[in-house]
Amino acid sequence: MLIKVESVTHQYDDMGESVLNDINFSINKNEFISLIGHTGSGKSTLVQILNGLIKPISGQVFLSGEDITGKDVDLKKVRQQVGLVFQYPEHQLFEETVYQDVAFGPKNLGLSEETIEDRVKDSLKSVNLEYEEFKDRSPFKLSGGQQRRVAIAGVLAMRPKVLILDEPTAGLDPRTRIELMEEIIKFKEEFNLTIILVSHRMEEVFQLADRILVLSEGQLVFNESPTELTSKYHQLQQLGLGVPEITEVLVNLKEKGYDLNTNIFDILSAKDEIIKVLRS
Amino acid sequence: MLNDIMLGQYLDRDSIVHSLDPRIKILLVILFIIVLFISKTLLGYAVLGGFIIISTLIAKIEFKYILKSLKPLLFIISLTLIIHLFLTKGGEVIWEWKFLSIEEKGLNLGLFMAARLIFLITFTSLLTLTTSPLELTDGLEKLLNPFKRFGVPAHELAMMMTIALRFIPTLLEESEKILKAQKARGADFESGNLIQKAKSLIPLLVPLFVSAFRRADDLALAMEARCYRGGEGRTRMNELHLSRADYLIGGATAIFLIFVAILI
Repeated sequence: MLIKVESVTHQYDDMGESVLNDINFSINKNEFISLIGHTGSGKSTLVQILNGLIKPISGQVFLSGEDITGKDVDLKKVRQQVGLVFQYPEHQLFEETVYQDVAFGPKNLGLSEETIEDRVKDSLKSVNLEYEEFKDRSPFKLSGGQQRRVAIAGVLAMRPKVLILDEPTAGLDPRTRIELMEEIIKFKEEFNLTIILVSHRMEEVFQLADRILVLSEGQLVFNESPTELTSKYHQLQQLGLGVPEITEVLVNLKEKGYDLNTNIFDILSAKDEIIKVLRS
Repeated sequence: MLNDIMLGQYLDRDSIVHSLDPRIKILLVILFIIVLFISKTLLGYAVLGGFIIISTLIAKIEFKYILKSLKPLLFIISLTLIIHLFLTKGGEVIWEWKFLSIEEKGLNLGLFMAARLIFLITFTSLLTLTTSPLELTDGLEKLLNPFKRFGVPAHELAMMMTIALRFIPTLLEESEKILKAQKARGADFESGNLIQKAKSLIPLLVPLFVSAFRRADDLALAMEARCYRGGEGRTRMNELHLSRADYLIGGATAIFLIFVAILI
């Protein structure tokens, strides 16, 4: 088990309500986890706790068996192992060249020049940016999609075991969004990563995740696979969340009496399923 | 670390001082400062001190907020006092130790200067505590209006002040976000010597400036989209009107302060 979260509770000020309330779950190596929930459900707080940016007021988080909420934890090491890509990560770019910006993380880890160069090369390659073409360009002169890729490469260059992505596709055009998701799947394999994806796009979540964590008002409501979660469609809707639109169509058709498989999350397979059922 | 900065000091209370026209309040503060610098007697300072205490009571502001406003300037106040104590010579020698000595004139002047600074800060902070930033800028704009013909950009100054005030919390939030993002990349903002610490701020400051400029561009566009063309011919929802109470209270206080300046 890579990450184990035990009865984590957090609140920001002493009097206020708790943002997270007795959260328990664990994540295995190489899993693709998705975290969904409403704005203000505590997602951002939770991911920051996982990489040691926030210390919960009670409860423990174990990373490879080591408690990272303890007193004398090497936070740098924790942050190296759990990479966190914030929302709109391109807003954190600051260096003169793409190379220097991607190298910022590894440099902070105190690595040698050659290692840093290797890492920058690999990281840029995994987000589909040509090393020679981009390394000397200013990150501020790139397009939005390219800037975001550079920022993600900057976190990848730290070679984390776990990569947390907070709405990585927010504000991108459809093509860039699809490309970026494909790159994420690719570098997950390449670097043997465990991924935690925070997203509001149910298609992404249901198509990619092995397991979905649903947060609502600081509580962990569901911790299930996409197929299991589809059967809880009505409860999800009550939380103001849902399933992908195409799955919703299938669920509604099934409720109307068609004998369909509702565990389909992309349009093409759904089309085939509907045609198959109509012909039979 | 960023939450320590006290912002939006305005305290909403239901008091006469709060409902006073901001222009009157600003003028009274200016008058108070002038009087403070004219007045040279102990009695004068005692009266002015009493005046601050009574105004605070009328404004229903707790004294701890007034004291809080002194905190950042405590260093300067004590420095003034100490320098005067030891370096201003004249009159009887009160205390002596080796080459150090405190003489009567130094003690007097030191205490007066310290009191002057304390009064200055507490009374001006009473203005910001009882006047919302919006009222304050409105009042300032109105007061500067007559100077427009001499080329003082009254409206623009007031607008700049409003925008600056509006964006302080936004920028604080933004810097906290960037700080976290860089920390997640292993940046270290705490350790090292002064030069290293200053250098470690680059990853915070560059993105902060970039985003501030982006926000400024967006804001300019949004304002133009709503047909903002400067202050010319612009009307307001809440016009400032001087009421009879404003004239009475303002006049009475002004007379009182001038009386203090001339007679004691």
